[in-house]
Amino acid sequence: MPGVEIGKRTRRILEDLAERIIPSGGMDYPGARDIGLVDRLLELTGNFPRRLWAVKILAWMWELSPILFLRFKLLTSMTPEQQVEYLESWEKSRLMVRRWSLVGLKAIFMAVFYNEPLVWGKIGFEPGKCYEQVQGGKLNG
Amino acid sequence: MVEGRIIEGPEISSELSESAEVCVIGSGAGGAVAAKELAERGHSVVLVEEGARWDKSNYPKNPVDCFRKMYRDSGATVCLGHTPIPMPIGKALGGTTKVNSGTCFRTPDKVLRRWRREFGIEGIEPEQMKPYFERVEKIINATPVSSRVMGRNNELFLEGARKLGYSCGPLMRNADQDCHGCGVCTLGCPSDGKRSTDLNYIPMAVANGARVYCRARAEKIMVSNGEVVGVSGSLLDSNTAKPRLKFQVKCKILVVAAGAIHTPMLFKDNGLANSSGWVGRNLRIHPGIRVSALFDQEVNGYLGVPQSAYVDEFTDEGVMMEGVFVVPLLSAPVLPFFGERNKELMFHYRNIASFGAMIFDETCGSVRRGALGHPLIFYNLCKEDVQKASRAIAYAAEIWLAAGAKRVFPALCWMPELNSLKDVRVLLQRGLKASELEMMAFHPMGTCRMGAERLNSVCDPYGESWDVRNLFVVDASLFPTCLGVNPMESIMAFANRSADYIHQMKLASV
Repeated sequence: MPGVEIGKRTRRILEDLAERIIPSGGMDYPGARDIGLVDRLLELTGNFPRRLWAVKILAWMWELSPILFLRFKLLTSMTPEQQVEYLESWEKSRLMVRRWSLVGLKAIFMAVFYNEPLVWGKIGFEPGKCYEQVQGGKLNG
Repeated sequence: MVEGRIIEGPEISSELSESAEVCVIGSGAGGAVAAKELAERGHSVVLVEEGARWDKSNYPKNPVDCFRKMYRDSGATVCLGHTPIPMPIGKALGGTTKVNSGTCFRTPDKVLRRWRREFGIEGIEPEQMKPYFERVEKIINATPVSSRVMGRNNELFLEGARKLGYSCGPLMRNADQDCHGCGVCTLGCPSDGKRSTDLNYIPMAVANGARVYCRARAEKIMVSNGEVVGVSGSLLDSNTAKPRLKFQVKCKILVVAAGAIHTPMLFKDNGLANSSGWVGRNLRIHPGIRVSALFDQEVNGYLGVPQSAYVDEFTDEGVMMEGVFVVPLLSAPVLPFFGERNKELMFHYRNIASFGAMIFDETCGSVRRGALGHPLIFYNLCKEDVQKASRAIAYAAEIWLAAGAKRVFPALCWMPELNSLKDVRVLLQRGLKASELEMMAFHPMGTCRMGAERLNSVCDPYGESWDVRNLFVVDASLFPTCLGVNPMESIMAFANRSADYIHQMKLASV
């Protein structure tokens, strides 16, 4: 994305995470890759250096975390199936911190993904008439 | 009379120096009421508000923007404890009344009586508070939600509750005919149909000469000889929210209504009003659970007022149930699973229903300023409150099943799915731990509590600090215990009562 440079490696981590959280393909509505979710996320954080920095730290924590849990691999070195299995281990963990970390990760990507009018149409979310009128056709910025 | 007006931060190009009889910090349920009541009685009033002014003319363009612009820290305030509890707090002209659901409840009689009995607070008998509630309800237009905007989500839950014989009904809200049930009350109101304080109390204060400064953050309370003499702070940049210029307001009375998180932080930053040691302690938040359900029929829960119905059958057990439905970006993360399975649930967004319940908490949390200037909030759910939450989940699940839900999803970390009453019973018998609950909270209270004894309270029964003369608190910080109902109307009524006291006892002779 113009103006926001996070490095290829960080982008790859974010793209892998986003794709596991909201996979593309499958049912008749888009996934992370289809809408350029990582670019959308960077657009939202790009004007705020501290938030962008936080996103980078978050990405690298996830990248390195498998080593802490004795997987002896970086996240991006795993196959997609291994990544899903690894994230599920966080979702079902007995440790609250791990479970909530996954909820946080979901929240970041899903908040951006489900903020897209294109996705709204696919899931049947049609904000009320008044809301649309007030928006005055500004939904796409 | 001085001409009142609302001054946006960017309009000001040099450092600001003001003086008034009364300076009010915060424009939410407490501050706006105090400003209006005192301005109306002829006192000069300056109000400073950290947030910006938003209305239907400049309503943010999408939900993420709403969070960024109308909430503190983009809505990412979190209580830390056995389970982290997100607690979004509004930051705008109108305070949290701008982004709440608009639900109006009077303080329950038994709560008022408990405060008199346990904390010695006189003058708050139900019949003495009644005129204040009536006055507030008239100004904010508190009326029952009409069937026109109730929404299918809430109707379904009421149907289920009625089948089971539970006490329930439509909620009272501060809304008028401009409320079209857009379903985005918690993102501000795009039609101005919800009558937040920026649409009633603030204009009334301004009409009576109050000067209202937006994007002005109070930082230092000036005290001389044990008496407040003014407040100073920063005017914030409209884009970066960083300090741009300084302001100072000299005043005789300082009314603090920055909310139950930021009022105690302001006092602590200034080393004030804390001889009792209770500033920032006694935090109550009404922790809430949410139970979602999947129906065969379309619910379209986003249509209609998200919080338009209640079930009060279980208030004796410390559980109050109220409608809650949110836009997809907030629904998806709290539905179970990720990947394809979460996507599949979201694909049925139109068929998803959701209802919440808040717990009358006995847990006491605390708040202080963290290293980066953000609030550090600690709140460890006590065992009794965990039990209340467990029961609340079971009751809500039972009601959804009675209403015809096929699958019920309580917000628990291990993502159980309940399909029958048997599943609900098994869940209850299993017992839940605090760390398994995925909760949210919206009602911080109690961090500068009032009382009759200065040893165990921060303020006297009218909200005046025991330590600093003419320093008043008029927000939810004052409440000694949780209310068990949404606090907006209570804050307003108590602020009105404090304003009467300030007028009669502090300013009448000026």
